Amino acid sequence: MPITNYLTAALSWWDSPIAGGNDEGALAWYFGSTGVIYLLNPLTKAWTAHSGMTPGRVGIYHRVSAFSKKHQRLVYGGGATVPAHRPGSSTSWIETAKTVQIAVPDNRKLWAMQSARQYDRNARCSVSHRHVAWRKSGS
Amino acid sequence: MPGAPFHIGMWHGGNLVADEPTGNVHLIGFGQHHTLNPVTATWTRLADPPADLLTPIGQGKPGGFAGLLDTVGDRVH
Repeated sequence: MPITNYLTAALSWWDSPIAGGNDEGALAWYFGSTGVIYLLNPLTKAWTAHSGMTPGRVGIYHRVSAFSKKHQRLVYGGGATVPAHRPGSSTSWIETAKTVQIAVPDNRKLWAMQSARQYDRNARCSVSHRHVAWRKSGS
Repeated sequence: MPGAPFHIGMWHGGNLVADEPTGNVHLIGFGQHHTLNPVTATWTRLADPPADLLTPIGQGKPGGFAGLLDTVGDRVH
């Protein structure tokens, strides 16, 4: 397992064949802290990393994701850039060492990941990184 | 993709739920219900959920989350 010690990983089941998974799918772990999506082949236990999935946005806590089987897209994003924030508000807050609250940008950003090439049943785990497309939200 | 209509995230924002029949992704929280088409990247606001539906605000307060009954395509909050 490539990452540990994070309680708020966003997990989704990629419910279709995909390079990095197997014939039935893969576990998709969106790791907002570094902007990486890891795919786990549940049979071989091998992880495949796709980096650069949240351009310009790293260090994100409390992220979420969901997989649309019909459209073959993993929608992911959201979260907060820090673990401390004001709940129920559209604004997150940083609490510094002196407990001064600093407003940080609202995080409504989402991206979508899709498989960009045909799944090869023979190749199975022989994938290259960054063979996915992403779409940045907003400006 | 346009930003979500409100804050998204575990503990303090709405959470995402995929809807298999439509392929859309649903976002529920703060008294609102929206759906996102991940292909056209368009949000549509749906009817508001019941007023007493819990909001995912956390910090020791009761919170709510959404899940999918995938055999019938309904969402449970």
